[in-house]
Amino acid sequence: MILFKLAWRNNWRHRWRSALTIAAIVFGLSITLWGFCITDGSHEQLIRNSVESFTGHLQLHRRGYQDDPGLRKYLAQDSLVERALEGRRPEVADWGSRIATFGLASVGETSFSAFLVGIEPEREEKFIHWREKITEGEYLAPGDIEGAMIGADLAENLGVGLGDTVIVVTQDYYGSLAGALRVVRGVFRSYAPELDRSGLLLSLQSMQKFLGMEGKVSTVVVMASSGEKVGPLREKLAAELAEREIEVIPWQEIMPDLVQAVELDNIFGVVTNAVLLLVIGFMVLNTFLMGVMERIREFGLMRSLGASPGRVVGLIALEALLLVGLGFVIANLIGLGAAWYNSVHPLDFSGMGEEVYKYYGMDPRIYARIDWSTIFYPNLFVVVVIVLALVFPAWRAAGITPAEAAARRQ
Amino acid sequence: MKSFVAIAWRNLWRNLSRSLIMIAGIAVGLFGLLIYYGISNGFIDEMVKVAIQNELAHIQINRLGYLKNPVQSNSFAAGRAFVDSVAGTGGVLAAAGRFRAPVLVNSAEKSSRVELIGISPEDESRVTTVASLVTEGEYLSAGDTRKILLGGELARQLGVGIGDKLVVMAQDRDNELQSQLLRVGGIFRSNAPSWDKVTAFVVLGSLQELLNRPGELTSVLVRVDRQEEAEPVRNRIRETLAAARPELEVRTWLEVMPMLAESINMFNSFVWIFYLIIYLAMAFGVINIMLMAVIDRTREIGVMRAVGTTPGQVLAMVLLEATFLGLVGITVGGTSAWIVNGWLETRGLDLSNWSGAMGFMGISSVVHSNIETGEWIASLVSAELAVVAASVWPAWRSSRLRPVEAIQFQ
Amino acid sequence: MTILKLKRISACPLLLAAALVYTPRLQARSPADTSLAARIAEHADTLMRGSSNYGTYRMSIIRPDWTRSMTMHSWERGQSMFYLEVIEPAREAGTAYLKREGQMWTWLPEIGRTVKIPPSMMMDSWMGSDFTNDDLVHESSLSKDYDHRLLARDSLDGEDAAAVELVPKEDAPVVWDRIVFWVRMSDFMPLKEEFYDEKGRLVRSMFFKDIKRLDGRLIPTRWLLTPQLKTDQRTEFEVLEINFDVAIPDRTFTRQYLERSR
Repeated sequence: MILFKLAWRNNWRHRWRSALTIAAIVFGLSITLWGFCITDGSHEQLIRNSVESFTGHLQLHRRGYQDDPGLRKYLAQDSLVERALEGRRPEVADWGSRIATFGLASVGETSFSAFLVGIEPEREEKFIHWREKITEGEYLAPGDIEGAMIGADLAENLGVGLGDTVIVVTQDYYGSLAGALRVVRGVFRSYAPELDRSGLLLSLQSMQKFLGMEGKVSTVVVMASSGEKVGPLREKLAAELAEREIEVIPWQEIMPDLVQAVELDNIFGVVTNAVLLLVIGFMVLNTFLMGVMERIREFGLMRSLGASPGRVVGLIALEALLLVGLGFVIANLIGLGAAWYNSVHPLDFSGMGEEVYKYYGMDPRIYARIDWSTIFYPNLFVVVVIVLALVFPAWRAAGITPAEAAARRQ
Repeated sequence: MKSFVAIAWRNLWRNLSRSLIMIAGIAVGLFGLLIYYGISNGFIDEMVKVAIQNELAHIQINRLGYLKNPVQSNSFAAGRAFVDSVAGTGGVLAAAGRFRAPVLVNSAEKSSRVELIGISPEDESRVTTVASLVTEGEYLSAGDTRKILLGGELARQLGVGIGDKLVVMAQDRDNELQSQLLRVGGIFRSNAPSWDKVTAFVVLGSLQELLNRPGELTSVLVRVDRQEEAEPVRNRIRETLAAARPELEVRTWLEVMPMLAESINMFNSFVWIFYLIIYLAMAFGVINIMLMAVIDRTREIGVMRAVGTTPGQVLAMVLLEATFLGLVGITVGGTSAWIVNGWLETRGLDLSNWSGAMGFMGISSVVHSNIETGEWIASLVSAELAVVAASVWPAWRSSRLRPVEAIQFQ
Repeated sequence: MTILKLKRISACPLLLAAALVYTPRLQARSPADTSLAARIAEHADTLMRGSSNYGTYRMSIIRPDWTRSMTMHSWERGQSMFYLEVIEPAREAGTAYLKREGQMWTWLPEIGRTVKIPPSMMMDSWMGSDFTNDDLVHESSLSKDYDHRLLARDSLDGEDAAAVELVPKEDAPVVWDRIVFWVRMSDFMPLKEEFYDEKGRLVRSMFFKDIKRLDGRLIPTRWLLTPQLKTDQRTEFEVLEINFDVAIPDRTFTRQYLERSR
């Protein structure tokens, strides 16, 4: 106990030095913590946005569909998949079946390429944000055979609005050209350019009828209860369904570019923060070193009184711990506190880059995200830097002999 | 005076480890900043390159409504005289007319949807850099009405090489299907393979012929002598056209692609923020270290003052010391950054592991760092200023020491 | 719309198929070749000359796991116009196609509307077969666009045959490098047609079988189109019935007729 007190008081022999050191650690670590939380939050928003806009967490297909899609690679609407998914609740939160293909949307003499998607409206709205993206009109009602929801840009290009009829043409299940008339029930803007420019949503039944695929679907889109559950869920489902020639694809494989973008951003974040913490690390090194150098006589005295080198090292380590520890505590409080604040009150980037965010379909207001990894790694890194900064001073302190101390005049 | 400089310099080396640590801190910080700056500039350069040199020019003339809806029917009548008169406007280096349309390009093996761009080869070579991107075969010349210049990715997909046949299909002005035979005259490769995959060039006349739109253009691209002059030149062109051609609009590249401008701003903002943070971190270190240096020499300063050194001179001396430390640190940091950056400028940073993410941003996977001379100077000078500024307070404190107390300091 | 990946045929297939459409220009390489190649060409030409015809056909699409058949009627005038209507099976019945002036429209009974085939759909499969929409639409002005020469004399399927090489002329909008056309020496009946790309690869073959006399003319009544890279699939055409030189009212080849109420 006395040791602690001693160590603590030693630190404050040089108030400014200790204060500045703590301040530096607080500065560096809290910025890093807060920054990681913001970055993490923005990534999560980006991913969630994409996942909840269209892809879902997992997609089930006939084996081979992901690489080479085709209507003939279908899943039968029997109870097999339903039972497998039901059996995995609550990790499985929701799911819905779809058929998707490319075709043509035309009005009069104008026609545009269209991406046709048949969805189960009542099921999908539980986890895909179709309803929120509607700018005009209404969401599809289940069983609505004649209705369609159309992407805002496609609607503009075709010159259609609510209540107008669009001719949809595509190759059906048999390869023949099939046509259908659909009435625009709603217009949506999802900010995913392909969907807005060519998306045409029909109810699944409508699509099945149109393509001659009654009882068949192309994809089952599954939403997990949380992002972390996706991996394990995927493995279990894949194992269970493998022998029925069903593949289970996670969103990372559907959107590998997104995964890479997040990775790249993380790397840049780590590198820049590492530079920051290294610069601060040098300063901490200096503090520790000076702390040893100016007390050579004192340590020499201790040694001559019988203290082992270990004792000396122990003392300075304790001092370091207390000093830095205070810095850690304050840094975490400030950094995580600010992050917590921003998790409720988002950081608004709209002044800087609204167009960019819109292009990527993101809300320019970023919510911070606090997670064990955003807390752990920055702290760990600083601990490592501190320990490294202690090495040389400790080595130096251990090497002090009483003789050396006596030789010093100071 | 000279002796002060000498004293300050020698003071640096009196406590070697302390000085070294501070130098190291500054060097590491500056190194990190410069490398980051270079890479960030590299990203910006890539994005601008792809946009401006391949697609945009400094200024663009289109029919009103074309930018929002780039369809054939939004073309405008413009012949040689028009382009020449635009080229003759003050501040304009060159102008080139283009016609752009989506077509289907067929080879024996495959067909692809492509943006076909009809150009006047000579004008084009003075405005954009397409001519310099040709890697196989030859760039187009005015008489090559039956040749096509393809992107490398496109050629690969279609399975064609120089001299091979391609048939182009499109809907002409009367909505009728037309085809035309062309032979591959050349292949180009930009640093954005995703652009190469969907772009091809032909002589303006052949596209106009295919589409039955003689004398029509979708845009006139203008290159100005100096990039900063873009706006005034745009205004000049606007004035000239206002009366005669009210249906046309003239815009600078920033107006045509606001997203690009914003992306650039975002990258730059992050650089400034990083600089600020690192300078602050360095400041902590400098204050701390200089403060300790001063405290260690309290007695000495006391003696100096007693002997007649003015407070101002003490201040100057301490400042000088910090200045020297800064200079050494910046030299070390700057030199190592120079070496590494030089390597990154020529070889580039290979991010092909994240080519998906790079493609997401529309740029190639290898980023070449780039730091302009002005930027080097600004960085080095500002770093030095930051160090000196941080040392002001310790220097001031030292100048306030009262000689009597100082001498007695233990 | 590329669910089925298709190759192009620049021949105008379907009715009396490619061979008969390719009436090669008389520009031979040597005098000896001229006479034979010319006569072959002329014969192919006369087979089609003055042809307004009305026929009934069955098309079978053969794939590894399934086969589909359709029966259709078609009215054709020369090579530039046709009107075709599917009568069987019930699912496709009523679907009709009109071609004129290098464009093609299709009538989709289930929606009671016509759709014009845009360029982006040209290379898609026609009715799920190995033919593309473009194969049907492609203007037969190709007859002006080929040079021909005699390539070889050989025995094919036990018959004395001659092969004529057709090379598209300079500006012809055709992706093939050359077409090799085999006919029976005895009566110049087409036997086989092979399409080569510029790399010299055989990309598709058309076989002509079951040569019979229908309505006074000797013609092959079964045509098989095989994409060379997928030998387990092909499309077969059978001429069930055909009438030559029939009078077809002009209005048959109009949009109004295509869109008439049924």
